[in-house]
Amino acid sequence: MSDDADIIQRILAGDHQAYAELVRKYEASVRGHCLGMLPNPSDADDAAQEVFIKAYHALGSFRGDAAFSTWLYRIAANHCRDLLRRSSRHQTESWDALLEQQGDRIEALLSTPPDVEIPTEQTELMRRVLACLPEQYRTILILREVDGLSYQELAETLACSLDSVKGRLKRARQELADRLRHISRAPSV
Amino acid sequence: MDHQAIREQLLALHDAELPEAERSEIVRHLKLCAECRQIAGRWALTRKALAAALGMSDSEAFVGRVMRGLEPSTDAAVGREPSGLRGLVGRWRLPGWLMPELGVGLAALLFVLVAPQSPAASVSTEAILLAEVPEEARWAYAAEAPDVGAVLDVGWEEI
Repeated sequence: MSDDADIIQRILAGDHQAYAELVRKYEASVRGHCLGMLPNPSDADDAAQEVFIKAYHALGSFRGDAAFSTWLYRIAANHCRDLLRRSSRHQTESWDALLEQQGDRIEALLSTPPDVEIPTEQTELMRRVLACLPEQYRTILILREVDGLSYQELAETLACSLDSVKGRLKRARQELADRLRHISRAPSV
Repeated sequence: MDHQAIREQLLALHDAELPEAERSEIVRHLKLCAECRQIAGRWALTRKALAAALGMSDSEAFVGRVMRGLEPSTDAAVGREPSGLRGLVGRWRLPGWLMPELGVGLAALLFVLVAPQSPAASVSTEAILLAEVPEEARWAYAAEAPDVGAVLDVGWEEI
């Protein structure tokens, strides 16, 4: 597979179809990012498509100081944040309702042996728990756990210091762990 | 090393962000401490569940959708201004529906500028009308009437 920088050079030289190689390489993680950030799963693919179109039109401004992936995830993070702020219907699921209904399933989810595939309904539940977190915690968790950004890349993407990244990531994980612990101890209805 | 300090570093260990010396120390501790091992294991499962929840399979259909979405504006790519009227429209932020009107307007302007300079336009209507008229009667069609006396060849003193 070609190096991202080579592909970008070809696109800038007029080979527009070369962009498909970049989309193919990053589409799964960008779609996953949007799925984790947006309240409605059916919006994720549309948002991801808009991210790639935005990135294409901004490719001339990509200076190559950071990796293309970092730059792309920054666009994805900003786009999702804009969508969330623009959406007047932005509603997150009631945490209390989730707590009452899903305690047993969360416990099962977190007891899954490492070599066993997690059932689909439990992954959906995890997504709903994630959706209950504050937006900035969701963003950093997804960038780290799903997109696999390093601390340095997180600092570049979120335009903050390394210390801020470490602090925010720690708080986000703590919040997620607390909610999972809380929900798994709640008596199911 | 105390447990609290170890737990601070467990996540950095998961993130592969620990220097080698510290990493070895934490790994050694985990082999001996069931409590810290349990915490590390729980986070590993949480991370696995997150990855499973947001993991997407590759989709060639999605790639196709993105590429089709780019088609109407491929020459507006990255850092390169589109050329011609479309470039003009893009730079001035004019709506696309104005394109035909702009085209008609430009054509009309060109016609006005070019038409008087064409050879056909340099032949006056007067010249065409007078072509078949005898020399002595041409005054009747002339744009400016000649001196009446000269035409009639009559001296005022004779009247």
